[in-house]
Amino acid sequence: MSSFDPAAPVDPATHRATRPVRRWAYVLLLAPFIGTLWVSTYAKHSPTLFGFPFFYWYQFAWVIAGAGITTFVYLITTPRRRGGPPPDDGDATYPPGPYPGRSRQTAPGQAATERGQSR
Amino acid sequence: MNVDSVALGVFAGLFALVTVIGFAAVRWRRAESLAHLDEWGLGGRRFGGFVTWFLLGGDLYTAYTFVAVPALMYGVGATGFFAVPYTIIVYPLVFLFAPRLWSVAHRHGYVTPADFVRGRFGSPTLATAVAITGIVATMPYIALQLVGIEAVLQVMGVHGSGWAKDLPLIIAFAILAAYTYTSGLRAPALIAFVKDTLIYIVILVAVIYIPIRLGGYGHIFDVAGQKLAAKPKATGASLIPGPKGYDAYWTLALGSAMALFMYPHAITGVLATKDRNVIRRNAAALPAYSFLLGLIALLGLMALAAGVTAPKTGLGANLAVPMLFQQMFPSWFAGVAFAAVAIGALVPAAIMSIAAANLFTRNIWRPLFDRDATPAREAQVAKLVSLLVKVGALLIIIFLKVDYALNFQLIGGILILQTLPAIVFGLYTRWFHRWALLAGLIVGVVTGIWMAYVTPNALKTQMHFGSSVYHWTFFGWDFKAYAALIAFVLNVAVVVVGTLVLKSVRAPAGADATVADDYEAVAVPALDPAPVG
Repeated sequence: MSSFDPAAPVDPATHRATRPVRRWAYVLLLAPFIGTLWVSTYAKHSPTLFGFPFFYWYQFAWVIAGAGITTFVYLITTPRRRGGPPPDDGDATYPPGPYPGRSRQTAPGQAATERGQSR
Repeated sequence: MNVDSVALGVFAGLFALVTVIGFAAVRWRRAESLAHLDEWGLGGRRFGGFVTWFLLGGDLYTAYTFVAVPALMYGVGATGFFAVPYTIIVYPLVFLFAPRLWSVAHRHGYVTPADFVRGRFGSPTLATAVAITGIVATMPYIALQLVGIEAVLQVMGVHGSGWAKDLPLIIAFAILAAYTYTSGLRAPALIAFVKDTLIYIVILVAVIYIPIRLGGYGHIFDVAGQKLAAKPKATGASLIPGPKGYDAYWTLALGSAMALFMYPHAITGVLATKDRNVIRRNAAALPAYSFLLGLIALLGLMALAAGVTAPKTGLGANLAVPMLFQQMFPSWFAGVAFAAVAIGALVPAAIMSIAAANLFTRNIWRPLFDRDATPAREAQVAKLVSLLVKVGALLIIIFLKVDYALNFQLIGGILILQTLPAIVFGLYTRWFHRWALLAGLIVGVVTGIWMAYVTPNALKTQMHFGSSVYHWTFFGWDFKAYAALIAFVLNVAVVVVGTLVLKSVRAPAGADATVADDYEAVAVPALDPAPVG
């Protein structure tokens, strides 16, 4: 995962993601696994909530908690890109990439050659 | 059962609506030409967060899910609820690996997971094996979407004899095939809006209205619990899983979660997005469907509490929820509910056939028969193959019994999970050897199918392919677990040992067409139409 030099400065002109920040946060994603796969901790009838046995409402609660955790991790690991709109902002155009040979504008013949090389 | 004409009328009207949408989709975000797999097969690779939420939601939560999950709850109770933890933990996994797959596919123009495997490991053989596994796992899944349509048609009283019996299904699939052919991925993407809206409306109404009529949730759980406890002990039916059911529960949830995004149709949805962050955001937003799925699962318990008696043969428990709707709702709303299930079948069926066609074209037909295919020719082949795939799925349903189709689906999950090492491990490291990955895939597939083959169903009325839960006794250690996950563990063991051996004898590792930076790329292309070859 960290196969590129962490000390290298991020060039805003390239299309590489600004290096994800605060990677420790990914550990939080383990929580839903522990919460839902450890069945013996919640396979019981009481306490009930609105008539739902614990087994059922506990897992419904984890749906919400899981979504919340993923949202949180998304927010704190996604760097804001400097000098530009957020990545999904409409039809924002980006400067042409440094990989002309590999973008979708590649001529079909060129693309075929490239695939040929990868064989 | 008489034909319910009001319900059928509403059903037919909604079906006609989505047919029009399907054909009109070709004009949506119009491309200069659809004669390129990026356009026909991936909708131009430019779906944003909103469209993707509907598309992936419509893609992953299939009609079969809506029918089979409550059917399982109706049959055995708590075990069927594994679908909820399954769809909770799938998203953290997607959040981690899917953006990397998107980035590398974006840089290199990969359309299928097998394209990536080929580029990463320099092994056409491994890529073709991954592609074949994907296609074989997907075909019966498409066929199962038909079970959803069949279930609602049957409850509406539409049935004939001989050829007439299958005619409505054939018509529905012919229409589906026609607009998938012309519009490509744009058709299911647009229809997904209708499908998901209908499903949300129907389920929200159902989980409020039906409990009011049945006397509240507490009463539903009580009555369902009693009825489940009264079932034969061998089925393991209960409202809360007992200690013997824990391992099956968590392995089914974990194995299914790991398998889901290996399915070609799920990856197609991922690669059709315009940016890796679209996927990351969707991993946070898609659990809304998981909540819905949990509510749908409860419909199985409601059917028990309402005294619905599903037939023992044919579609069996799969009819429980359609029958519940018919019993509880006025005719017109039952029509809406049935249409929601049937349209819910069309979206994933379309995406699955597109994904299978992409795989066949890129990873079987092209390397074997036409190495210099132009993009236009690739698109043409894929369009034709998407038709063939649907015909094949139709034949499976018409000529094989439904039970067999269910067995194929069971095997499908086992098969597709075995492609995980090549795809997901490959996204993080190049350490594994291509031949070891191939050997692991084969070992996983063979042992997985063998475990499913020797497993009878709970009541021993069917001796083979009776359950996806394999009962394992190993030196006094008693373990009941999802066969796919056991096979996966063996698969990984073979991959690791094989890699160590192959590296020690310096077997050629193949060329890697990717570089580390490719896996973090966020490049959004200038959105010009794809080149026409």
